[in-house]
Amino acid sequence: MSRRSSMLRPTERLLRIALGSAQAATVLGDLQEELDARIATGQAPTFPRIWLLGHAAALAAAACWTSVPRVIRAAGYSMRDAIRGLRASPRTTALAILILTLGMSAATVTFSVVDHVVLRPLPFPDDHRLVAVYGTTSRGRTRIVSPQDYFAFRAGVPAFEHVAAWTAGGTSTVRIGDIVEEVPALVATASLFDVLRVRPMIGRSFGPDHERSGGPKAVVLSHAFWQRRFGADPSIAGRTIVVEGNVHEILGVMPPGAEFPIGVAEPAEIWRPYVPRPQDVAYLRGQGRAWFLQVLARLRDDATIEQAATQVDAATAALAAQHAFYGQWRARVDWLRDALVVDVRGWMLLVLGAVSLVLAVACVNVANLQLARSAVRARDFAVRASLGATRGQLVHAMLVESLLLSVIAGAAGLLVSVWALDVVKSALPDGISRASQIALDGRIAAAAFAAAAMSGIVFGIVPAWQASRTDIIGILKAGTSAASGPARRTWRSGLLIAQVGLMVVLLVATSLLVASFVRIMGADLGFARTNLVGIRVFPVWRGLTAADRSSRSRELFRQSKLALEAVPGVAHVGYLAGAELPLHDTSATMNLQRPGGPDASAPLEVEFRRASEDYLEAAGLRVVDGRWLRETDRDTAVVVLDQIAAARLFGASSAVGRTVLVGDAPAQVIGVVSTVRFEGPEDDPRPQIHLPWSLQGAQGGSPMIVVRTSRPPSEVVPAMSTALTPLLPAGSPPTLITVMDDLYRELTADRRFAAGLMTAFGVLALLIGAAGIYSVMSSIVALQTREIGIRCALGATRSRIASLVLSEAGRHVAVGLAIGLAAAWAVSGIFASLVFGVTPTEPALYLIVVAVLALVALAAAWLPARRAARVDPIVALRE
Amino acid sequence: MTRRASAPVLGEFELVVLLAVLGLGDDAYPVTIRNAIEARTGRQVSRPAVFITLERLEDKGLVSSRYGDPTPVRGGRAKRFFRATPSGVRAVQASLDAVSAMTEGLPLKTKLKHL
Repeated sequence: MSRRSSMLRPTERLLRIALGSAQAATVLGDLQEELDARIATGQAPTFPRIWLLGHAAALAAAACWTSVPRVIRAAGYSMRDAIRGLRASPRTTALAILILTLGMSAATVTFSVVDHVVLRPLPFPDDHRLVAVYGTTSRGRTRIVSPQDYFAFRAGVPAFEHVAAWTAGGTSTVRIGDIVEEVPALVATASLFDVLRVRPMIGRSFGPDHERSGGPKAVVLSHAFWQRRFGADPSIAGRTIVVEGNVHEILGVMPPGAEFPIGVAEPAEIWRPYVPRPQDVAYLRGQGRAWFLQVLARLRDDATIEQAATQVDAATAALAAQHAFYGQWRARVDWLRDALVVDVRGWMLLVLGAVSLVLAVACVNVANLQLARSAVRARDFAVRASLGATRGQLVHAMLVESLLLSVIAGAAGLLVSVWALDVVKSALPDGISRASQIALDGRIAAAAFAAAAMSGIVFGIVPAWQASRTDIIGILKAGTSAASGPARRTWRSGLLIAQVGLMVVLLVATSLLVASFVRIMGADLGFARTNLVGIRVFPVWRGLTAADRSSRSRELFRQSKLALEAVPGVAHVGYLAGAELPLHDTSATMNLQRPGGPDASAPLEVEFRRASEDYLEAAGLRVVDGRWLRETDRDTAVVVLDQIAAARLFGASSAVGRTVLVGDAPAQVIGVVSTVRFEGPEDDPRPQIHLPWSLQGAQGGSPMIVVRTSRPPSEVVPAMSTALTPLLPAGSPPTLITVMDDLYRELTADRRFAAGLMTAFGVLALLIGAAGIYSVMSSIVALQTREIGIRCALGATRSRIASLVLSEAGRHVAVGLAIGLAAAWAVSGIFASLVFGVTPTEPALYLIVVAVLALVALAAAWLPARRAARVDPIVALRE
Repeated sequence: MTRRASAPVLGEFELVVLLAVLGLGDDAYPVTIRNAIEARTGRQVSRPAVFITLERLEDKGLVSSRYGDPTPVRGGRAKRFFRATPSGVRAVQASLDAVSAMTEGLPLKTKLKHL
């Protein structure tokens, strides 16, 4: 016997797995019988164990084969039951699907955006070795540098394996055949291909030959442009194209995905070589400084970024030592990945947190809906259980239902996500890195879907699990009211409270961001931002002595002023020297102090500017005390302070008429003006002083022309440009015209977007939460119909019933509010860095949030309360 | 379950298995069914084929199965007995009627006498 049983064990196991224990026994018995018969008749198989196992395996396989259609049929029945179950409570089902879809798509879209913009690597090989070189002054950073800086880096930074310079953002006129169009163009050094490690997929890139002045003219096309205008012609290399009126040879086509500049809405369609002029390579005598290049480099494999930084700094310092106009400007090095997202990472992560909260609210909501639904179905379960359904079968039925719900919601969510992603992409502010590459991320969609589905499934199954254990007879006799057992009630309450809590945190974050945004937009910048234009000209005088050059420059500026004033729509023209316009780079600083004696103070580091007498009106500064500069002040030792400088040096007493030391030279204070916030509302400005400037003065460099227009700048700028161009000598770099409003809009674009997005999330959460409260209260009312009927019969008024329902809802909401407020308070530190002008714990905000939520909850609970009040006691008691 | 309106059509092997079940009466279980078919028709029949056919017939409601008592002979394991249901009998009859109808007038020699 023991030998027999050992022989049979693996066979037995195999059959049990395939057939189930009952059937397996019979099959095994059959095999044993036949084996014994064979042994008896002398036809015993040589290896009985193998004989048994072999035949058992064949039978096991046959069993699996037959069970396939059965499984499919069973699945069909399950699906039919699930659909029936979902249709039994259509409102709950529809609501659950809607909430799941909204939560899922919001999460998917947001995560996809943030993933592509902040988290993913750049589309170039070994992008982690790419660095950006940018300029800094004492106040902040700029991306553009002068060509001389680039050449200095190329020569003097061995830590760079390759370094390239480029400029983009403009368009070039391109003619193919008879069709002329403006396309975004990139002008770059040939080394850009080496830095990025991309090569044209057809043809070749431009080389040193093309960078020579007078060398052959050539371009490389972007993949998209090649497809669009040349129909993806494979023999494109060698054809010609007319760019800016000159015939250029098409050298090659870039591969798809090699988009540059990285992440702008319109990457360049043609790549042109940068042909430096002699004055770009090294400063000529008397030449000013022009900024228009961005620098990108690849670090040597064996070099560190610190080494590169040191070398870059040394190169810049050498230039600064030679040229006074460098002032405090220095160059720094940063990883390209970081440089691209440094401005947006903060609020992007905040948005990520917000959408996670929305998803959590959605999940909690669905879980609650499932709980409510299973309470209603308890009777159904009880009947089934009494007819012999096992716990496993009940759980299975509920599981399939929940899964079906999730699948429907998932499909809907996917559709909505695709549509929403397009909408969001077009609404993103310009300059968000890699916005063009944002696409729906499958992993993220799957993760969001799994999260939502999980909560629905878990909370659908748990009650089904309990149903088979509860007092079935009791349920059948007492109706559905007994089915809302205490455990379920606790879960429901808990989930409702959790939902409200999450919503509070989200709404607090939203209102903080929105409030901060409102503060920013309304902040006083110290000057009049609208209808303000800044113009920089870079005249290049060839073959003149220094003296001739300065007199020519002076004449140029004098004529420019006259020309501009003659343009209709121009109200005031002024000059600002030694600095950029507000909202741009700042200039150098110098020391300001009260003169020696008992009044002496420590020197105050101030920013200084030289301004013409028209500048006040042009820029829209306000005179707070005394007066502004006049024509008679030119070449005299006077100074205008700003409010901060005046307060620091003289406190409450008036600064007008007092003498100060500007650097070493004494000057008389003739007035005090408003403090200008150069870098936007979040700027914490230094004290500023204005010194007189005159055309005749000895100050070098070219001033900025500041123009105030009486009409919207867009109408006036073309005329201004036309007026100025003939005055410039041939071969000068193009005039740089900046409209202040545009600059400001760019600065605040991402704030605006974040505020908009957060508001959308807040509204979404409110909607989902309201839906949740409504449905939970509805189901509670439905389950308690009997009790309500009894109360009515015992004399309760309709309004009393309604107020009972409302107060139950109110209790939950109140607890949720308390928990949520505490949580928001606890994490307020995180918000602090992202909001401006608003303390994260401002009571007014919290009060508003509480009020809004309470109102929404009240509205959501209103309908169920009314329905409860309308219950007909006779009908209710009969149930 | 099968409809009462018309008996399902049987495949050839299904018919053979059903006939074996009918013939064996109370003693129809996979071993005897297979032996009977092999003995009477003279052709080799695989165990999985019999197994699959019996399952299919049961799914269609043409046979029913029950578990017998365990016997010491087979190592204490029960037998699974099969019986034809009334629908099964009807299906067999319909099949044979169909064969008979199709063979009418054909110059074939057959042992089918007792129909």
